[in-house]
Amino acid sequence: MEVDERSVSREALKASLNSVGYIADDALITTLYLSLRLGKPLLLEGEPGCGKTELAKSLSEAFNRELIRLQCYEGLDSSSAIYEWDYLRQLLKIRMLEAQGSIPDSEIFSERFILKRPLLRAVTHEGLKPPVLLIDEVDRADEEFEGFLLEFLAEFQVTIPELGSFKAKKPPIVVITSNQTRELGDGLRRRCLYYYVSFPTPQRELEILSVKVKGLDEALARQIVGFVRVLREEFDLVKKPGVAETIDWARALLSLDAKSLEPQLVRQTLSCLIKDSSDTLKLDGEALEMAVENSTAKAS
Amino acid sequence: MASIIRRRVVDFCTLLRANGFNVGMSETIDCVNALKYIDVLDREAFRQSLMCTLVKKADQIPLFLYLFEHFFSNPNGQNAQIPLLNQGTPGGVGYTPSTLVERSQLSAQSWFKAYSPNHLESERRVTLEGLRHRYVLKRNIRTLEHAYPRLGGRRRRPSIKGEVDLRSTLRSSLRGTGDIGGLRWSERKPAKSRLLMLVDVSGSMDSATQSLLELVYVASNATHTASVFCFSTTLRRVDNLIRGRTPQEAARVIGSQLSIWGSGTRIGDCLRSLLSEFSRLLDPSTLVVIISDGWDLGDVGGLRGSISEIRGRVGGILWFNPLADTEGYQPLTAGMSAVLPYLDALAGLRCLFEPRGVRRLLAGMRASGGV
Repeated sequence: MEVDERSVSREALKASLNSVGYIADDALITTLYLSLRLGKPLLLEGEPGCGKTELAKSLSEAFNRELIRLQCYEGLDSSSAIYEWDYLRQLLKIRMLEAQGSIPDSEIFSERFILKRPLLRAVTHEGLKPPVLLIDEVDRADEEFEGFLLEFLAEFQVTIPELGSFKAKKPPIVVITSNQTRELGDGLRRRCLYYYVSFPTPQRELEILSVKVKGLDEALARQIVGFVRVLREEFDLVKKPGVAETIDWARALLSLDAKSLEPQLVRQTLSCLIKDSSDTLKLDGEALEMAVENSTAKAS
Repeated sequence: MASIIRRRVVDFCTLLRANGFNVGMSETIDCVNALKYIDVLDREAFRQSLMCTLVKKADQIPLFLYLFEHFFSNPNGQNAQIPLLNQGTPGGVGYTPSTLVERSQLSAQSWFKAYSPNHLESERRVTLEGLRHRYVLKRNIRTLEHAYPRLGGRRRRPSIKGEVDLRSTLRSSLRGTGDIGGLRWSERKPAKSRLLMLVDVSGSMDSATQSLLELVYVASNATHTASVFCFSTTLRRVDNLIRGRTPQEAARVIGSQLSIWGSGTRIGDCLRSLLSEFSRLLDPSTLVVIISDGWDLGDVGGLRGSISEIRGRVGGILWFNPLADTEGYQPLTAGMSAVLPYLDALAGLRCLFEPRGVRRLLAGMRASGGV
């Protein structure tokens, strides 16, 4: 779809995301719309598996933009996130120049010898359409890395000491996600628009299932949503199932030709929803049967 | 029209700032700019525009929604009734989490981090340097021990108002020639109350962490009869962990072993645990002292049942609420409303940290016929 995302209306933005299978709340659409209009990064926090990363992917797909992803992890530094000198090529160039009797000059510290990492790629993107930059799980990176990000997020530029600053001609669409495993710094937060992605309402989750899992019986979908809701609300789980887990489970049940939720079937496929061993113990025989019963009641 | 909205938004930013939000000029500018792109008469879009530009943390969202509803529902622009929770201002009123949930129509479970029943394990790095209020606290806690004087203690003290003390009279005569020179009079000393202190260390009490640490430490060490518990989502006894330790050791123990610090709140469940596991501590000689803001999204009926049962067993219940230090505070939260009929007194936390604060409180209670 050829749409300029910066001038698109909220309704069109929602329709575009719907068209690629992303069902969003009005509040999220408003926040995303303002983020695009104001040209500010969007910081998404919330439970894992609620569609934070998926939003960036869908945005890139909906507006036909390149998706540049920076997956954060502990120990991530500027050489992995911004740039790195291509030492091998620099050495070869030096050898060549020496063989020609020339003296290596500042040319070896030029853009040609830079290995561009995601942030620099986003800034120096040459295409007509700015890319979507996804900085995923920023809470996993060290606090020092947040410092690197500040200049980028405020000015959409990165600085390489030997070459100077690179500023984006067209600012990329930046989506930052965090699972709240640690508190992010105020500097980072202040440079972004903020949205907390919570678990969807049952109605919204049903819509998501109908879009993501084709061919799923509506009654079964209701039972699935009801059961997941019971797990989230009535069990003190370490890792509550997110939307991603609901979709996985629905696909698993569909592939098993399930017509309705039975305790035995739920027990066999529970690994799609439960990702922590202590949570498995909380769902022993009786508790599971009761949860299935409650889910049926909630579905109706 | 635009200038009126701008002025209102700037006023709202000031209000947020006064309530502890980190709203700088750049956020205000972003907010005003954002309003250019939405229909300001669409209340949902207007609220979301303000929220995404001015709120930067999930736990600020409930308070934002509350302030937004009050501020933008008041056509005259008079916001005197909005409480400034962090700084305290005259004319504030109480507020309830249920109001926030109803008005915001948002998932309380995901957003009420600070005031939630969710358990949140954490290891805190705490320090107990200085103990600035050590002596004031010690004196106030000892005053609390005598808050409910009960006749009938085992020990006696000389008193002309009492009865003739034959044992004392004989002892004094034996010091001389054995003749009874004069009668001695004495009365029974009033027995001290046994203190049972319950300190709320949930996320909503975070702003008073240092004071609570001092209180827990001093209460555990000031008197050997005090039983000190911390609670948030569960109840933990702490006096046996830190009694006799230095402040540094106590801080280390609390930091490493008290993982409930900063978690959600389930006051009713914790009181139920107290009743079931420590019932031997609850008798008429016990004075229960609860330090909590009363934010509880748990079962209010259960909370009411537990507190009424405790009240029936013990000599008295005093509740110290940090929010009550704010002038004009009214105990309107669901939790506070439920427990209020069973309390002997509700006072601000500051009372415990002021010289003669407890003495003044008790004098006020006696004047009103409370004790």
